[in-house]
Amino acid sequence: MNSLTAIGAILLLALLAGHLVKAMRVPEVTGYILAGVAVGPFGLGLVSHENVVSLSVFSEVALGLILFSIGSVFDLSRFREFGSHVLSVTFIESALAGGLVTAGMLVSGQRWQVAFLLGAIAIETAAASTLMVIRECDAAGPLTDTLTGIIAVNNILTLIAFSLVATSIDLHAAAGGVGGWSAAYRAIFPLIWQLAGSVALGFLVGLLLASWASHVTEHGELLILLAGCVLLCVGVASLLDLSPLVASLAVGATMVNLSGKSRGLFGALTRTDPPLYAIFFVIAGADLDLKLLGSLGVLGTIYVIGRASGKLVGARLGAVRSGATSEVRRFLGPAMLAQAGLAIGLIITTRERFPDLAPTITAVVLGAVTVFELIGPLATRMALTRSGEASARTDPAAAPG
Amino acid sequence: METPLNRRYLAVLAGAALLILIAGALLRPRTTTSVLPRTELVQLDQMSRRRVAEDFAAYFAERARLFAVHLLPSGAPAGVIVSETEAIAAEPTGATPWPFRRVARSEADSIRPAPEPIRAPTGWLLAVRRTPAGNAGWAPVLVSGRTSANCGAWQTRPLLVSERLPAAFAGAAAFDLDGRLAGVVALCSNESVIVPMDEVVRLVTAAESPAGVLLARAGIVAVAAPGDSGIDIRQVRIRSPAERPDLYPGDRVTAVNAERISGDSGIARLAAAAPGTTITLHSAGAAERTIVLGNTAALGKAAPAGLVLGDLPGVSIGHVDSGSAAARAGLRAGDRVLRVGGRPVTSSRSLYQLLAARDSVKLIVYARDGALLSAQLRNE
Repeated sequence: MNSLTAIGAILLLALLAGHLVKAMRVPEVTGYILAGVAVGPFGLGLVSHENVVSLSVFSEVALGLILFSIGSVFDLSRFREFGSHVLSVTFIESALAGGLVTAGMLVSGQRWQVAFLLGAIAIETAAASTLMVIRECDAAGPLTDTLTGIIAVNNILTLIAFSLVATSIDLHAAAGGVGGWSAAYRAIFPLIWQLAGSVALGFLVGLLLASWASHVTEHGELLILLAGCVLLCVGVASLLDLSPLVASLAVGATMVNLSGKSRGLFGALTRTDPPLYAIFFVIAGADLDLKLLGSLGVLGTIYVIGRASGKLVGARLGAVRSGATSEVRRFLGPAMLAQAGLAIGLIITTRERFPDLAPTITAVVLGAVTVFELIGPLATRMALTRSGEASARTDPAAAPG
Repeated sequence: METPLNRRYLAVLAGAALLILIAGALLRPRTTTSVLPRTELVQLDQMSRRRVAEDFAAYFAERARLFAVHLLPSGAPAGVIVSETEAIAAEPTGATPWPFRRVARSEADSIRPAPEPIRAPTGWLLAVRRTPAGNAGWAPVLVSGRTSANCGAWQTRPLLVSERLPAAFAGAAAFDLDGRLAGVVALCSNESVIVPMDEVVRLVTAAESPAGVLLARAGIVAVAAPGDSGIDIRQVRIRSPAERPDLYPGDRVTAVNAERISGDSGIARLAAAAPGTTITLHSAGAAERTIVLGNTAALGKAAPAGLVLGDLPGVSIGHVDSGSAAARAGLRAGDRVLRVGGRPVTSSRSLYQLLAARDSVKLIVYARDGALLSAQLRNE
């Protein structure tokens, strides 16, 4: 199948799967992912590995746009209201999820490097699937606001934690060998560069977007401008070894703070981007190998249980501590179980920086991502529905009659 | 722009951001270039490794089918049938230190059962391979029962072979008396060892390659076709990306300079063929045709290979032009291309076809230094 046929088939299939799962009160995202699993190289093989690779550019664009949308939570005027609350919940749930996974790995006899890298990756909550479920449910309310804020902070925190662990491993290795300052420099530089450089790039692109947007009136032109800026940002970030994720977040954050047009822009984006996201999730599903579930093993089980309990307990503790409403306390944990994009990105980074540690980490995380990508969106939808924040349109339980 | 921040403040911030970017880009430590794109969010890593393992398993399994255990009427294994015409009997002859002798396939029924020690404690292994000289040299090897202490990098301790084998045996497949593929011959610190198959696959998938186990060979790889009907071409090495070999894997050569060839002597004739030689061949489903070997034919350095079990799947790269797209993608001579755009490369012809089909393809390459790489190649 060539790429165009694959895109066409994927879009129609996603639509069909979305309709089917809706009837079962399952999020569309799960439907897309399951459709991907079914037709992907590990399923029926209708969409080949080659197609998946050639369509990965869509994934990058979609992920950039998703993070751009999430960046809008850093609207300073609003963030002041709930910022400290979001920060404290994120720190607690991240520390608990990462800490439990790390401790479990250490107890099971893994090297400290493997344990801490897995702990850092376990922090991540999937931005894309969580945001898509929020959008599909048309959810609004304190839980939704907290959740969106947490996703943004959580992804940055994951990156910081991972970079810190990676730097420590490099420094530890440098301490035992030759290289001295040069090795230390090589170890520390990526940590600072990935954060400061990515924010700087995102800010500059955001500035460009905000200044230009004030001169653009047509909806179509606005979309062209936005797509251009996000693509530019992701492309330059890749070129300079920066984090496309943090940079895209920074574009969104800059835009929302500098431009009065940002609300309209984010709204326009919501109406235009569904096909891109459908492709994104079907491809994500096509990459999942359900057979990995069978080979999850002891380490995979420790990771899944450690991360899930860390998220559930940590979110609740954090919410109680910050005086959140009872709905937020009860449902925040389940809403943030999904894990995907950044975790897989970090596996690739691990493979590049620590090839000797990569096999264990890859096996554990890919198996766990399969679990969390299937149950995560379901849990998020359940949380939004039961907290009463999903709109009546998408919530059959709340529908009249 | 409607903003609570004043313009001067924004300009300072923008300047600082620009400064950070420029300084960072300049001060970035030059790391070894990785050809795996960082932004690749697919599970390429996992998939490519699994595919390579599958390629290897399939590759060896295909060759293992050539062998069958010869059972006595009692059901006891008596030897290994190595081809349609030959067998190795597992019986002591007294004349050699090896309790094996080559017999004709027709004699296989006369093979007597092997004495008890043959199967204990580690058992005997047969490493079978024709020698590079083209003689029908099936080499039985005796496994000492000890494991090698010198191959420290390997997870599974390889079994020590009692005598050091010539280098030409590196990469040969070893079969046990039940006809199962037991491992691959490797040379390690002056020792000859049998590396178990699990370890071979692990080495490949973990991208650690001790020299010797995975020995890429030069030239063509050919086997005698059944029934004296010619020589089957299995692999052809490409020496230059611009070169189109005249022979392709899958071709069957039936004559050299109009003389019919077959068997071992045919392989030797083919290997010795100089540029200008007329070769008659036919490909599957096509009529017989004649070609004249050009100067660039891949036969120049051909080693008469017979049944070669040591080669890796994929196609080896003979030469990379400096400054070319291939060089920029990180490819080097000696690397093996295993997959192009997700499809296994089974022959040089399939490599050409896959490369020519599109402007930009992703290759999975088993690098000369043992790393498993993914490279994006753009046709120019």
